[in-house]
Amino acid sequence: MRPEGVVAWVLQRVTGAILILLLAVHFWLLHFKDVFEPIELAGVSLRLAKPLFLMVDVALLAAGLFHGLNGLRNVVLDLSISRSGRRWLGLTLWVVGLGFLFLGGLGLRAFLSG
Amino acid sequence: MFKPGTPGMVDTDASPRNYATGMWAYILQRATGLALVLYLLLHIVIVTQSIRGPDVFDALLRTLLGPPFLVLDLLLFAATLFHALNGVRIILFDLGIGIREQKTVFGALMAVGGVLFSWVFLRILPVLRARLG
Repeated sequence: MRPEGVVAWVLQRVTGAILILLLAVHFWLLHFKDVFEPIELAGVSLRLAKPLFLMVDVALLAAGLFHGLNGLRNVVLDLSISRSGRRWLGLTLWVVGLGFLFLGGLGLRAFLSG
Repeated sequence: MFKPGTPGMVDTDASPRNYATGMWAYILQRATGLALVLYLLLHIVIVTQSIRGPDVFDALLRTLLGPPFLVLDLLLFAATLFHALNGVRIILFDLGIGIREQKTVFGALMAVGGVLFSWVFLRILPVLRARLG
């Protein structure tokens, strides 16, 4: 296996473990703690004003995107595509990932100023 | 279950009839993974509607907390639970833990998943009733 393949393999497990912990926090606080609570911009803003919650959301965004898109890459790689196809796939997924990271960042920033 | 060399039976690994537990786990891990990554991208787009202000965002979220979406959320939760718990099994195997007892490990994790799903389902049920009524 190429060195970067090993890094991606380890990171897939590390981000997976991080996601289990953070998603448990995310689901509990947003959806299960008070099931009748409406989700409104003002309420989310209030929560995200606390640095710890903001850090959880940023970590969820980054770890989720890496884990999801690298997982998608693993599925496509099993179709045994050509060497240049693999390169394009990696490049495309990085662009998509960074694009959505930026988009999510914009969304979080709007909550902080909203 | 598939028994190699059973008389009168065609031994084709490709038939789902012959898939062992691990094969189903592998297929479901991929299927739920693909669904979850699509959902994640959609989720980011939806939450980022916060840039359009509280009126747009709050109205959108009110719609998304309605009954049809709550049912989809439960499906999403089931997919997430399966993917996470089977992911635990994969990490344990990579660490060399429980490989011989793989069916027991899988069964135990799925039992945990069943309990967690039932608990959440019972918690969400009154919300669903209230929003339908």
